[in-house]
Amino acid sequence: MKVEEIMREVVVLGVGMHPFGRFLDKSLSDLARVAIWDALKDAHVPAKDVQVAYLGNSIGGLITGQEGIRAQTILSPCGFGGIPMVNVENACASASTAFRGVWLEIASGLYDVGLAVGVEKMFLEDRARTISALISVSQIELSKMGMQFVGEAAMRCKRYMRRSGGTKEDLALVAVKNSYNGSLNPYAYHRKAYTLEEILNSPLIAEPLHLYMTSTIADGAAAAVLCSKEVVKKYASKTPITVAACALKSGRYRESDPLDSDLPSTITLTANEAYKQAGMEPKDIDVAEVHDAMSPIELVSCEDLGFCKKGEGLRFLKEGRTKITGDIPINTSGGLCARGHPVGATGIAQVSEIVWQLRGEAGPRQVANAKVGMCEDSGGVLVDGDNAAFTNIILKR
Amino acid sequence: MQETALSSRGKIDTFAVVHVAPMGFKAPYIQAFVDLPEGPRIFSLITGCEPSEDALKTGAEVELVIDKITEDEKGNDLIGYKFRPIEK
Repeated sequence: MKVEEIMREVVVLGVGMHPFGRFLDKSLSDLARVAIWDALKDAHVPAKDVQVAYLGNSIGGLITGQEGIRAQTILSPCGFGGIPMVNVENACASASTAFRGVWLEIASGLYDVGLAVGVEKMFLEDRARTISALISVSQIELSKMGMQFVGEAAMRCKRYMRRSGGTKEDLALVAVKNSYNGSLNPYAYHRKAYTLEEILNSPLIAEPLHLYMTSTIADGAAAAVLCSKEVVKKYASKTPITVAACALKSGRYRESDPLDSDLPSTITLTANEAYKQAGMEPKDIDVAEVHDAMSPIELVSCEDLGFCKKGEGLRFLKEGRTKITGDIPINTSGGLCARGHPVGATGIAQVSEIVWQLRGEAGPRQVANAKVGMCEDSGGVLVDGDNAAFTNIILKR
Repeated sequence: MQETALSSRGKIDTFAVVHVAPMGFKAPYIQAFVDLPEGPRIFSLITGCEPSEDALKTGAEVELVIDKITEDEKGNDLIGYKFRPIEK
């Protein structure tokens, strides 16, 4: 059933980000504060109007030692207290799950104005601690047995190559496109457009993945202010962006890998739920941010989200259809590899990019006449190889 | 639900030669997904061959061995399963 038939309409009034990068001297709260106050300013909503807040964060407990109450401890120095606050931990989908929580609070009619925040701090003097924290986001039976997550993604890429006949050079073209997009994004950590040669000459992590084809650790924050359609006119906001769908699913045991068969992936099942909620189809999407933790995985997402047929992702990319000037631009922000991947902030960074695109505020990255955008996240690794948490958000002008 | 004994032999689905190791492991090493005849696909490190792209291929037959996986903080061996190529 379409969401608008069962719940109140919710809009995103404002978004804000702390640029992604390396900020050793900043705390989680320092990062969050910049994103939150930018989002409030963007929304023209006074902080005192915020009635509920959800905070997504993935590895802050292991990094800072602060467990259990990170929403409260991070948001208090940002000026918030005495309201419902929820701590959300859902691997790479932490921020998008926090966004979904605020959406539900408002859609249900309980509150009118809410704040969704995603924040992560990954740079420490001690790099090994960050890597260990990241590895802990895979099921422990895998990580204890020596699974390295780039290697896990490398195996997915090999399955994709086996199925599509694509070469390593083909796969690297995704990083060529996305590094160019990232070079245009003031919030991106890596703002350099790489050539195919530079990508293939960067250090090998696990065949076919080289360093510039992988997302990098980063510090950063992103925030979104949501409100019910009914109170929009109270605020002098720019174009409100409607949340048309917000789907969440867990990974599952699969009889066979969707890369080896025609069975739907969990990305597809989550997207189908979102399409149903929005009353839309893949052809209705004008621009998308997808979870390319390793850039070639974008090809799989492009197929699994229904933008092209299974096995056609590579042709689609080579024809330029996913470029900023193409008919379904993907990762105009630069995606996870160029923007950087502060795990618990990524989901709302995707929402921010799509909001800017739909409002026509994306500057040199602007997609012509984008009316509907999608954000797809997946994170964590379960023992049989599926991801653990999947979200899919559809926004419309 | 029904308990099923799994074979100690299987075939390589996909593998990765990992050049950047997590703490407690030494690069390069091979990690893989192994398909067992009963159906499950399981994760395992691979031993008994060079850590190179040429050492294995999809469909290669492997067998289970009990081996040291890594060490705990005190230097004690942590033992688990790995797979190794079957000599032909």
